[in-house]
Amino acid sequence: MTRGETELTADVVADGAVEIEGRRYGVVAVDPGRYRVTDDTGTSVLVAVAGPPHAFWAASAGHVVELAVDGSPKRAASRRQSEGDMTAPMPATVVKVVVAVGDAVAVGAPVIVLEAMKMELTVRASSSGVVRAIGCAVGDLVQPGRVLVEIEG
Amino acid sequence: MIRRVLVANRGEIALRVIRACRTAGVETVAVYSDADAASPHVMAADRAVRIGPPPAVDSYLAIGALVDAARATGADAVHPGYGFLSERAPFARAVEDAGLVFIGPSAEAITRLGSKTGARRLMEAAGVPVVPGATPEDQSDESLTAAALALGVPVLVKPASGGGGIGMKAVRTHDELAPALAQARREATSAFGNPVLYLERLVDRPRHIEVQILADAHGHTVHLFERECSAQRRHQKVVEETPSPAVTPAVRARIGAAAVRAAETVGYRNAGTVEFLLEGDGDDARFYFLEINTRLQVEHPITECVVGVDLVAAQLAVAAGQRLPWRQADFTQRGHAVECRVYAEDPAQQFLPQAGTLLRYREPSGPGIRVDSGVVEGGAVSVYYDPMLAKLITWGETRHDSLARAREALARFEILGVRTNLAFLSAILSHPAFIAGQIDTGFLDRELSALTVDRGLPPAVAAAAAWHAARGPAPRDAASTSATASTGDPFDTLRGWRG
Repeated sequence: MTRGETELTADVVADGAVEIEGRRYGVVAVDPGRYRVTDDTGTSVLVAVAGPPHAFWAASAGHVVELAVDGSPKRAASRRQSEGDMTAPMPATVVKVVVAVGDAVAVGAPVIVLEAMKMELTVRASSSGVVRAIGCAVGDLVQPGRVLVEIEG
Repeated sequence: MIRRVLVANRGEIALRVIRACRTAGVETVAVYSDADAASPHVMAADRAVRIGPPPAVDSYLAIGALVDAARATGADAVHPGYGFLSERAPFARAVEDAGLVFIGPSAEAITRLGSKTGARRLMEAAGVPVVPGATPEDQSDESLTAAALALGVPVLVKPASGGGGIGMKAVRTHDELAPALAQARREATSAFGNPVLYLERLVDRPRHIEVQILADAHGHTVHLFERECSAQRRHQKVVEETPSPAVTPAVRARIGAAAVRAAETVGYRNAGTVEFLLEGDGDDARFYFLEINTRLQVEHPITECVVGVDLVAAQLAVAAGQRLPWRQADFTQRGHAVECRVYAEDPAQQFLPQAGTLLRYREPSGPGIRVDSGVVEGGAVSVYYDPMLAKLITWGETRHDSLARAREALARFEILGVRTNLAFLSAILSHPAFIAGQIDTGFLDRELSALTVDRGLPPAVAAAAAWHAARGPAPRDAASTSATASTGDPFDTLRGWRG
């Protein structure tokens, strides 16, 4: 499953009034970080918001959204990672390197096996292509974001 | 008499034990690694001792440091919680050898039950039903393969020691056997220091039913009925409930009696859980012994809600040598309780554990709602330990009522700053098969894609976020919001990625 990305343009038009796709929403702060949002049919929901600038999150009725205001570095970083560089998702130990430089791999194929929290985790190719470089060896302790395998499409 | 207890754990279970001790008038000593110096369990205890750097192997798994801390603070007993050293016989023995009380079974009982194969033999001899399986003396691939073929696929490969589903592999075709053996052996070695594997016939679409037991040091054992833990993802429990919708009164009587017999066979003392697989329906359902967990379980609160017994208080009393004040006939099940385990993990990325700062953390409360947690708003979720943040336990007169309460409470649980499984939990509780009580241990894995649908960015959420970002942090009261917010504003484009 891939993470969906949705984009909405929200226009703050007046005190406590926001317009999205031609519909108007009334926003009232209930307490710090919590808002009551009423749509144009009169239906209200409570929304909790935290951040920005370092992070930006919002949630309503158990549905949590991690947000980025357009152009923030957060979004650029998430773009870069999804393009053929397989990175370590968490601190982990490399237990197996499945591919070698020059191998052709299909999307979803296992490339690296990591171990963390006593469980094995298989890192799979995010795109089809040829392995250009391998950035780790068996036994390495890798930190989040470290590039493990580079795949050229 | 126990006067001061060292709690050899962290997080919600350390807090749970500290509160039970305080209720019983017993002093508490917390221990902490450098990653936990400001954690809630440290703040809650009467005393706190640093035991080492963040990695668990140097702190919460360091037997010497823990026993030294108990001695230095004048503790007369040690509660291990769950996980970490709770089921390690050398720890229980080290505590006993230091002249302290280990709040749990004896080191000898832990040893006998820690080996799945040894426990199986004991139970078979005592007439407790077990799943057909084998542990070949010869652990070569050839010998294990032959044993697997004799049992017939599907077959489960498991480490002979250990638990929690670690290293356990289901093999459905012959080709899968060799890689499963290699991987299970690696995981068994790294997690438990013992590469020995055992093979077991895979029971088709089983339910995981476990029975809570309590035993005192005077030969008296009782059970506190079953818990249904079939909602598992890769052998990790996610949602538990009691009573089980699948257990009839006749089966309940049989499985309870079998659990008591299993505990008595090994001279068990203190709280424990006897795990079974349940196959089939109605009064004809068959159950098979899996293992005895020699500790308090994560999911113990649902039993407390329905039976009305404080299990940690009972553990303290039994450890102090007191007699259990109940006969079996004293217990009844009142209503229904369900527990949802709230994890810092991302269902969209194969449930990867998440780390970060809890920018906002607000627990739901109200009638029939209990939250056991070990975190606070502003606190950090570290990469070093189990990513469970909280357990949401709800009770109701009926199963329908407790599930409805759980859904409402999940929707009100505000956790921002790390990704969590809250939406996944809500999806489970709203799934028709779960509502009908017709699930087995494969349910979550089969229905995973339906349970992890990305719902995008709702406009109302975007509206609140846009207003919040444009106006900065909200002032103390709503009235001043409209007073200070006067000028027009630029456009904000918001992107949400999180289902």
